Amino acid sequence: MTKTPVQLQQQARRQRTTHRVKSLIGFLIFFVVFVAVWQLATTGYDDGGLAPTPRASWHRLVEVLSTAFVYNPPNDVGMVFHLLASLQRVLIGFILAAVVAIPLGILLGTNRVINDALDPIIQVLRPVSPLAWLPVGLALLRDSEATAIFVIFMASLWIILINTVDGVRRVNPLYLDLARTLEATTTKRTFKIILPASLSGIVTGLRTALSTAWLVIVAAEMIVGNRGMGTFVWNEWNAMNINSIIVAILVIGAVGFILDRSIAQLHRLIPHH
Amino acid sequence: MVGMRRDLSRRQLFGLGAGASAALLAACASPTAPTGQSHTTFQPTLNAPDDLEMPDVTVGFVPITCYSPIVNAAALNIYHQYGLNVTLRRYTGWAELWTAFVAGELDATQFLAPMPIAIHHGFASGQRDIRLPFVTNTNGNGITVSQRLADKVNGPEDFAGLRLGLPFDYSVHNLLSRDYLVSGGLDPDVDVDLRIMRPADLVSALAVDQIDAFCLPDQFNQRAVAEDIGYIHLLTKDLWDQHPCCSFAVAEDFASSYPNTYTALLRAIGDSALYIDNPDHRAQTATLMSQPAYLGLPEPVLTAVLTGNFADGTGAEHAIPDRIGFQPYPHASYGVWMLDALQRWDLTGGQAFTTAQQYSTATSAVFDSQAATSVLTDLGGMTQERTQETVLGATFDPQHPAQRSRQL
Repeated sequence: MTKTPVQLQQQARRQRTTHRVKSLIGFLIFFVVFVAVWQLATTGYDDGGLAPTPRASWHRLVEVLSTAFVYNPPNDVGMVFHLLASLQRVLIGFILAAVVAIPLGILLGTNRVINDALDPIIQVLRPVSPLAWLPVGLALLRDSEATAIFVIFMASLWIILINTVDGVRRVNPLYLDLARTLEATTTKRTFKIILPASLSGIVTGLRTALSTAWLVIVAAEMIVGNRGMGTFVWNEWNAMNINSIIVAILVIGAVGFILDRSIAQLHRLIPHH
Repeated sequence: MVGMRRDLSRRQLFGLGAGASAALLAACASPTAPTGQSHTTFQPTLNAPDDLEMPDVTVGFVPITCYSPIVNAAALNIYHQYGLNVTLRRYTGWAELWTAFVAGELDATQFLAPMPIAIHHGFASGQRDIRLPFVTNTNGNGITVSQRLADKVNGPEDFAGLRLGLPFDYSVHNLLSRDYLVSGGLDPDVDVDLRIMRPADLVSALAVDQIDAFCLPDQFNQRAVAEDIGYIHLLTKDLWDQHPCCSFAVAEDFASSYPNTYTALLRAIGDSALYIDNPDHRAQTATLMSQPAYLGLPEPVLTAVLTGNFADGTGAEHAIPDRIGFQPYPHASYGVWMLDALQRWDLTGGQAFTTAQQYSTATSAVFDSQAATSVLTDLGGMTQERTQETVLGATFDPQHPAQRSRQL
């Protein structure tokens, strides 16, 4: 018996629902197992809460969230303002890096000579930990805020650059030949062919760079920031509030996840052939 | 290794990278050189106790001049003379040291003086029963202000709106600075931007205008003067003469399981402390300590701190022999004042102390004055309890501790 299109649709919907229910149950099981392992790993220590238990961390989470909007600068500032400070630094550094790296990447991807000339420099600087730039930034910029942004810039720059170059390289040569035959101007060739065709590589670069920038900001702020998630972690550690660090890990992770999902939306811009 | 360390300390001015990697690696500590070499022949005052249960001891430290009695005992081979084989382990921050101690990585360590009280009574995460037999030093701290603010900062009221760097919440630096700011009519939580940072990072931070001033143990104050970054606004000695700064502390379980080892440690460190407390030995101690294997800090800076003959960065020269002192006796009045100040600034984790009896019990649970008296009497050190303290011009009576908080 053949199924009607409506029946097929219903079947597919049922399958999707079952899938969702199954994965939700799976998630709950994993979550319970995770908390149980955490509980086991932290019980048995007679250390006055040095090893944070799930219960103590939960209490601290409620506490931190209930004071998230407190704003009595300079010393008593809620979590939301730390988060905003970190996001601001990351976005500024990241956007500056994109503004530099995307045009440069297109240039390097289309011009062999410049690419080969710059390649050794890029390859040497690329594997350097972004935090290694911190003292250099501080010495040159003499400003901790600018230094934090500079570190994010350095963390994002190479990833976007290399992915852009790679994206441009993978543009089908047929399109470029066609453009040459049609005597298209460089501007037209760049904006009508190369940019759309290499967009996939660029977006991948942006996405990876943003995750990396979010990783780096916490470490950078432990040293330079007067506000931010890294500063929060550092201050709480120095006040020996270990439970707060678990809270910070949760918040940093959740925000990183949201950031990644947001920038992944850029993939929708990519034209499908 | 030795050459590298000297190089590192020179670069430390802009060497925040070291701090960065340290922050990343969190609680990593690098052991220092073995502690066997003798440079001067030191004649121990006492004998090694018989039957040491555990001759191998690892002692934690943060490289500052407060740590001199502990490191000098290694430099002069004093530990060996008391039958001990001590390994010194270096930490760059107090939270790492706290964590390492509570986690059981260390059984004996240098701590900022308020830390053993907080750790023993569980004022924050990480509790372990602990004994504090010695303060490692008295005085030896200062408030240094950036050269940019020369002539602008003259009294506590001038700190309004400034960024003040501090080494740790549970430090006399934090407690005393806060009281100092209050004396200028300021609310430290609102009117001043207090920044907790690694001591070594604070000097760089002052250099690059990330902070305006700091309250730190020496050598950092003198270092800022030597690097022409800041001037010494005051010595904390001027706020509270003979105040405790750092302490030597031993885990309760270690001290009770190995009583002879505990006694040997106190004899060695007490002998070392009284030796360097002698004004005649200060200059040679500075030379010895400056070596990379010990403190690895610039010799002129250490000499200025230990002899008390120093330039303050404003062009003035001073001769203050008790800029730092090394009489180790743990006065109960120290403990009561610190406990009261911790409570005043909401650092007791909600625990309340009201009666003089409560203060006294909480202090004597940590301060091992009995062991200190026994060792120091034999060594010829001071053991007379101080009956009162004068802090910021006011009398602090340990019999009536709560009066102080009411005044503020």
